[in-house]
Amino acid sequence: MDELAFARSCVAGDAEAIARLDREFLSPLKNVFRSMHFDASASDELLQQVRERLLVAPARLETFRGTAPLSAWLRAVATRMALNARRDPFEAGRTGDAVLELVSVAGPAAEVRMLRLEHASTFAEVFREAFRSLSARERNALRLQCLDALTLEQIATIYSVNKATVSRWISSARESLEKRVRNSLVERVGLSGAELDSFIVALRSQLELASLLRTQSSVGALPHPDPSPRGRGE
Amino acid sequence: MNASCLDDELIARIARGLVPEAELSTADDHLDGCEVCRRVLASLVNEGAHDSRMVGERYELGALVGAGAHGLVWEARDVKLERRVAVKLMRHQSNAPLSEARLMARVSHPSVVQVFDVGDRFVAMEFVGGPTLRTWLAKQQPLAERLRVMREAGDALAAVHRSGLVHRDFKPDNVLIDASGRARVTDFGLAQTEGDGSVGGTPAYMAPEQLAGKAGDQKSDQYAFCVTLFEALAGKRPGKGELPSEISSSVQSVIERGLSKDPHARFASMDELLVTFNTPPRSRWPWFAALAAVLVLSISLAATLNSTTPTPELKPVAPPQPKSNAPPTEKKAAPTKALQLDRDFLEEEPLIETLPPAGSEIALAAGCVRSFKPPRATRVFIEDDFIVNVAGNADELQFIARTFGTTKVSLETNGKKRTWTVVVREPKEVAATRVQLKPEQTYSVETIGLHRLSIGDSSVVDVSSREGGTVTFQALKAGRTNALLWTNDAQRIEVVFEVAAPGPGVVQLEVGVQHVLKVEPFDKVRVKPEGRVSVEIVGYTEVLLLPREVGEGTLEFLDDDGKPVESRAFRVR
Repeated sequence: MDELAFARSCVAGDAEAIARLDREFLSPLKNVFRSMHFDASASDELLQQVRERLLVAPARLETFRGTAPLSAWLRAVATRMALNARRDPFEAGRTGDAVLELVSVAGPAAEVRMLRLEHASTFAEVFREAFRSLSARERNALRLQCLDALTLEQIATIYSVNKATVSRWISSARESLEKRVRNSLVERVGLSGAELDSFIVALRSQLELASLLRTQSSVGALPHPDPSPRGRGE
Repeated sequence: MNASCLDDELIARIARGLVPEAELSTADDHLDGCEVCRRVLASLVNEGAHDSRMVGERYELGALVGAGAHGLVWEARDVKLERRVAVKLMRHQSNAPLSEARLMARVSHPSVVQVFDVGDRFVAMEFVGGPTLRTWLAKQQPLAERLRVMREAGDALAAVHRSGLVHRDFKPDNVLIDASGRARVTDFGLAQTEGDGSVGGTPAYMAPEQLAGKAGDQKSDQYAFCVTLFEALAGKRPGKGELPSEISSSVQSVIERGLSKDPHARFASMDELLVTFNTPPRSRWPWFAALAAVLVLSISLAATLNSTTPTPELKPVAPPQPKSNAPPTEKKAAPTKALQLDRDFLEEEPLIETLPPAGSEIALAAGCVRSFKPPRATRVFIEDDFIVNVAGNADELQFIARTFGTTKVSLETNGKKRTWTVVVREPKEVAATRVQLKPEQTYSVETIGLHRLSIGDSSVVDVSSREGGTVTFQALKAGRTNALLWTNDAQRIEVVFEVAAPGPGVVQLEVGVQHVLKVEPFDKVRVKPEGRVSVEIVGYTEVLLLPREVGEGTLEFLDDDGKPVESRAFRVR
């Protein structure tokens, strides 16, 4: 694969190859950083770090084996570095799963908020247990949808399955999540009737809301409403 | 990076769906506990959606290279094959022409721009860097060259007709001249037939039957080819100019027959037309017969075409002839300078505007970017990101027009959603402003940003400064011209300048300011009433006027013998 040869010449210090690397592969990464809310100077600085990491011994570019497109690999390397650079002490100290936090922040209905305050630790535990009971794939699919705001189609691409299949995974994951939470709340907190219902409704709407949230960038195109596959040449 | 973290190449492959199930399950276990890896994966998957410059998952848009009726054409990079392509983003409507573009993808001819790929609303084509036939023709090409290029274009059209396809919008703008000088016909079959039966196309090149609402066919392509051929040879369209006398009779008969009002009177096919086109000129033909044919042709064309071909065109008015009373100094004709798509204009730092109230319309010119100050913590919803894309950061929210159309963009701040209608359209004309200036005077136009500016005659008025969206024009000499301004919010503003001649009308003077006046050698100047202006002779051809008091009067020019030869009024401010 000639991308591999190209990477090798960059590592070997070929000036022309490095110039092309800068021009065609590295400078577009600035947009990646900008979309992650790094400002212009931070983006430049980060790009410089990525460049050093790639080319200065032990050159990361040397580990490129050519099993994926170079541009995608570089984006992965750069995104990883950017995420690590941004990880602040607050985030680092966090141990729980982000999905759990999404659900445990104050809900919309006052009565639910009251319930939450009363039984905060129980609720968190109930939800965590229910979430843990899902399969790793179901959890990932939920996270990719809720936290990373990927469309069903995008998730389907990752797993090489049909969009409908992903849709089924996610709705069954939500259902079993809901069922478990409901059962646990009845058992452990003794909730029932209207209180229980409003809690579940709140949980549902928050998952819905969460599915629209983006974690990395708050500015970006939302998934296209048109369900037909777009922009695929044939 | 954590030692156990997923390999970035693996993540890149997962993002493209290239990893088998067994490996995926292992990856799932890691992703379940590692937020960084999951976010890297999500970022890669989201690449296309986030990157406003990607189309069809493999074309990365670069610079805008052209705008046509059917959409915008971008220079692009095919990231899969690592080659340069041209990508046309279509208007939203009818997908019917795309099926034809798909057929076009199968046609291969040296003078046809190769279609590589057709997607939902885009067409990827071979990138031809050269100018359009229209631009090329404007550069005074030799007649033989113009004939050769038209022959190549005709060949291309014939080849496509042979495959049963129709162009529907043949015109000088759809023929490109590549680096080797060859004609390359593009935009085949992309002309849109609207649902209501009205036919897309360019009126000036449309056959009478097409103008009457019939769908374009090979015969109407032939007509359009002949209008273009006439234009290539005469410099003007039929009915507006005449063919040069040195055109061979065979070419003349091609044009004459191809422009028949009745489609049946035209050639049976482009192939047949080309046979006549390629007939070597018969030199024995008396030149006057040829000339007579031209005259007959142009007269009949004028009669048949004048009424049917309205040609609305965005063109600055022709620089008017200098009036006889213009000052005799500065006689040399300054070249017309049109700053079309000037790089400086495009690369200038964009103005950051304040968002208009929710619910209102945001207009964008095709291919333009408008920047707004983003509200805090905003999320963006775009109904159709094919038409417009929104990118940005904390300081700037860019609306990028990608192709013509209307869509909705919503911003959500603190759970509150506000929606705007975004329209990407061709520029809307704003009523022309008439401005009267004196030489040296300036006039400013305020816009939200310009992407193109053109001045009819920049020796009369030229841009003296430009700051943000404000352009200042300065009058240079007497005359009349206009300036066209294309703004980023899709307006086309026309300013008509009338610059008044400073003389030989009234000589404008100011108390305390000396004024040099040119005179014939040895002329003397007498002032009436005496003393209002004092006169000092400073050379054979110059006198110095020193105004003393406010008022009006006349200056009498006397020759050597003291005989009055001329007089001019003056006014002292």
